[in-house]
Amino acid sequence: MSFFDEAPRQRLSLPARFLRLHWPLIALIAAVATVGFFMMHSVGRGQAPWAQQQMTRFIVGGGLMVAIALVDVRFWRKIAYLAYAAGVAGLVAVDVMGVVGMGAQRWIDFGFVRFQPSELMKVALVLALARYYHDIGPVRAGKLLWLIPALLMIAAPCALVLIQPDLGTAVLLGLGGFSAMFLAGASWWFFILMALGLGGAIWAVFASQGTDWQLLRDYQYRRIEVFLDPTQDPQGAGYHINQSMIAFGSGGVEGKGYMAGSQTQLDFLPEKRTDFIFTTFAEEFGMIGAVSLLALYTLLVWMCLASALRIRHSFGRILAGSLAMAFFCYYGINMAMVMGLAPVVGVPLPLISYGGTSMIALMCAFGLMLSAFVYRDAPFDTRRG
Amino acid sequence: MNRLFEENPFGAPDPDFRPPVAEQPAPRRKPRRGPSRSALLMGAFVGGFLLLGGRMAMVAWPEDGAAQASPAATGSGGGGASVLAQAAARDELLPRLRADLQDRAGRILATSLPIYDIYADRARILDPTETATRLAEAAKTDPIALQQRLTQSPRGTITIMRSATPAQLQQIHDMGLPGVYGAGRLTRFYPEGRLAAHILGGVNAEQRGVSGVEAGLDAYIRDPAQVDKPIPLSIDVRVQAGLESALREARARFAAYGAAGVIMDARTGEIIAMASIPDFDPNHRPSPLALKPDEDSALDPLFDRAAQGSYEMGSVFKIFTAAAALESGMVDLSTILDARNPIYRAGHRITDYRGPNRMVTLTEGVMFSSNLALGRLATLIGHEHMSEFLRKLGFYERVPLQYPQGVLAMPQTPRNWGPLELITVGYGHGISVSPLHVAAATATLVNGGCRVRATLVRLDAPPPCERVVNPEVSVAARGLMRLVVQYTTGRNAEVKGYEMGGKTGTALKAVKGGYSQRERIANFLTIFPAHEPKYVAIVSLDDPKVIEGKERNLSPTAGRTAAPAMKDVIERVAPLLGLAPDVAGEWKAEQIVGARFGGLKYRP
Repeated sequence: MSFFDEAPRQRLSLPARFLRLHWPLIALIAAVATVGFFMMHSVGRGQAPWAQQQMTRFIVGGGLMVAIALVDVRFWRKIAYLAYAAGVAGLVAVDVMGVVGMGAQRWIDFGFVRFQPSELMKVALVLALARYYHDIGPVRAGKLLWLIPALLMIAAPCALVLIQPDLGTAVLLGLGGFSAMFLAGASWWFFILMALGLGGAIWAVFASQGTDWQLLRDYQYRRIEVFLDPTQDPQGAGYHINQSMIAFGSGGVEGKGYMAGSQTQLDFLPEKRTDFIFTTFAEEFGMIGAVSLLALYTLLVWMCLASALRIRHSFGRILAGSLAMAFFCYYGINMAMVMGLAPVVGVPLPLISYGGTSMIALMCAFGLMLSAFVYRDAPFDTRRG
Repeated sequence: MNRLFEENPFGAPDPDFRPPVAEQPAPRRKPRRGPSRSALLMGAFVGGFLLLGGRMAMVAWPEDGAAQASPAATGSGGGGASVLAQAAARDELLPRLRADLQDRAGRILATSLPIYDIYADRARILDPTETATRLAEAAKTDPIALQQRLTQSPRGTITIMRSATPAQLQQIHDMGLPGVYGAGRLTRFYPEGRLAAHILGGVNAEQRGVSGVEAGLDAYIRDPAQVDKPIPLSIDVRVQAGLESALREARARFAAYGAAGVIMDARTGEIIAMASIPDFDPNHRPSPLALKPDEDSALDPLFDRAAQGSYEMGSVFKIFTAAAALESGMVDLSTILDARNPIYRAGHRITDYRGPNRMVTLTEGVMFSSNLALGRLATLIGHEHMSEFLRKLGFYERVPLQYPQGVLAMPQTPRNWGPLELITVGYGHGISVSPLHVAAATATLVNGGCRVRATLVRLDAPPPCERVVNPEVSVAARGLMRLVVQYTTGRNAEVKGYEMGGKTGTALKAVKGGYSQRERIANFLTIFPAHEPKYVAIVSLDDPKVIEGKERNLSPTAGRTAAPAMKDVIERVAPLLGLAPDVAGEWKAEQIVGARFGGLKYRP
């Protein structure tokens, strides 16, 4: 009893699926990733093997993306809750037996590969919410009572990630989940209440500082203070953002030229190949380059959303739309962070920052988006899902 | 039943939306007003683009339209062009931060030159051993240590040498070593080294003035609109060099702690030369000495004794007392004063050093430097006249010199003018001023009475005359000072043909809680030529000792120490100031004072 037996309406041959892939989108993804390869070559000063490693990951991830895209989207809907359960299990496993890196437990070591379940969770959460809202239908999606299961689905992984502790990932998880809820048609009242609740939470966080029930770690308060005024501690907690602004500003309008960014090349800039890769790019290619890259990202996310609107089933629309929204949050928060508009939370620049799990997870997300696009006309029967 | 097409979760009607013909469309939700959620999302993307792009422009746009600093790093792959040529082209782009300083004749005193920090990028070095060996030779460091740093340092970039000259950069470039670079910047350079060190001052690593005119005129020197125009100072490097070498020799000859001197234009107040020994090299500015609270801050070479030091000037002040008395109109030069018996006042006994011990005229009182005569003269005219006159000469305020605010000497004047204070100020004690104060006040007194304000910037025209002293008093003061050099305590300063006038002053050094029993400040004040003074000069020695010659067992008075030091200064600088010796036409100061001293025998 395969899944396809229940919905035999649209069965596409393999070549047909290939033809229905969104090739301009794939080309754009490859273009952004190529910028990343050049930047890895630059920060490695042509010596370190980062560019080759990044390329290998992209090729593996690209293969995975196409493979996922060619699988019927109804299959992904079917395993959505399973993936979610696996993600939660992974997060629990990290909390119990994970490897501590950079002051937080984020990794599971399988021996042959180290793996970050929180990256998988970002995709799985959106997948599960898309299924949930698809299954309950748009009328119930607007009802407040039906919010509760969705909220619980978001809250569980967020809480597990906050324990690690990893504020940045928790924020991204939450934003991905809320994007799905927003696109599925959750009541505006909910979002108004959320805004009020967020305001209350911010108040509570500051009110709790120094008391017995302090909500955040001391370093997190420090980051907030430094975000509000980075110059108050230029050598300590404000070091990252100050160095980033110096490097960014020193690039000027035209930039210093490829591999000639002295702030980066002379190791003033920390985390230059991960979270602060955009600063390196801006130093070497200037404001013109930075705005061009931003335009490339905007075009990419615009194309994702436009393709999502062509999907004729709510599962695919919610899935593709919220993944696009999450992607937007990724690059938006990263760029805002390195330019001092947002506090320093460890959010990498998607497709460009050095990092294995995030690249693979991102390519999987694009694969799901493409799968929904390939099967954009597929009929669903949701009642018996 | 297929519910696929009844759902439109993004809210907007889909243009592609075509319900299958066979299906019964399910009832849709009532259409929402306002923008659809997908449109909101697209708006968010555009908003994000505008927000982030705007922030990029804010961060990356050059400030104030300043020229964008070019990458100052130069690689070894410079093609065929000379690195020096490249460096020259680049230096055009290094933003000029400070205007040059010149002396009054346009000679460079301070300028900004490009220098280079040589560094090595470890990742690009091919052969650390060869690189270390050859670089160590050029940078004059230990090749073994350098090689260790090149191979073992945890840092990617290693500084080989700081502040290399363009020639050294060229030499290193010519070695053709991969991975070795030079980064340029402008730094302040004082081509004359120690010359006029205190006047010029210095700058810090950020090229901001920290002392001297570099700090006092910092706003003008760094004015971006004026930065290409050199600023002419009032000093003359030749006269400055003459003064400094004479002071250095005097300090050695009399084993003094230090020496200071000022040469000033008597009409305009322009400082032609001003020096304080010991001094320092502004190209290698020393750190301030760590002095204990009870130690004299003048021991620090950074301390400018001439402008910052505050000293009791001793008998030099008698010329001002005499002028104040003449200005009051209560006395004239032939007024008889009592110089016989010691004065007892407020538990103090005041006597003369080698005094005349008789009744003297005012002229004789100044010539023999009688404490008793001048102390009684001050009592005679009263403190109102005295303090008013000193105020007009500028002894109640800081000299308005182009130094940073607050470092200049603030005169210490009596707070309450009691009878004792009046007497002691009359002969130059109980009032502390800087040598620069005395020079400016003397210039005011002898130039015909026009108020002089000291300046270190060359003036294109003399300032308008603000008359504060009666011209007749001014002429009388010239005569008195000429007689001192001609006949009495100032004879050791006489340089034939330059018709110098002067006044000695020896003061016991003020130390914590009173006066030192042994240490003295010896001053000599000069005007020349005396009949129409063009220049005023003062030399001040800190604790001189007479250690040679016939006088070696005598007390080291100013007449025996500061006066010959001044003679040395005048012999060196007078020709440079354009004054020719005039032996024939001797101006008779006796005619001014209406007395003759032809047969006077006095050995200072």
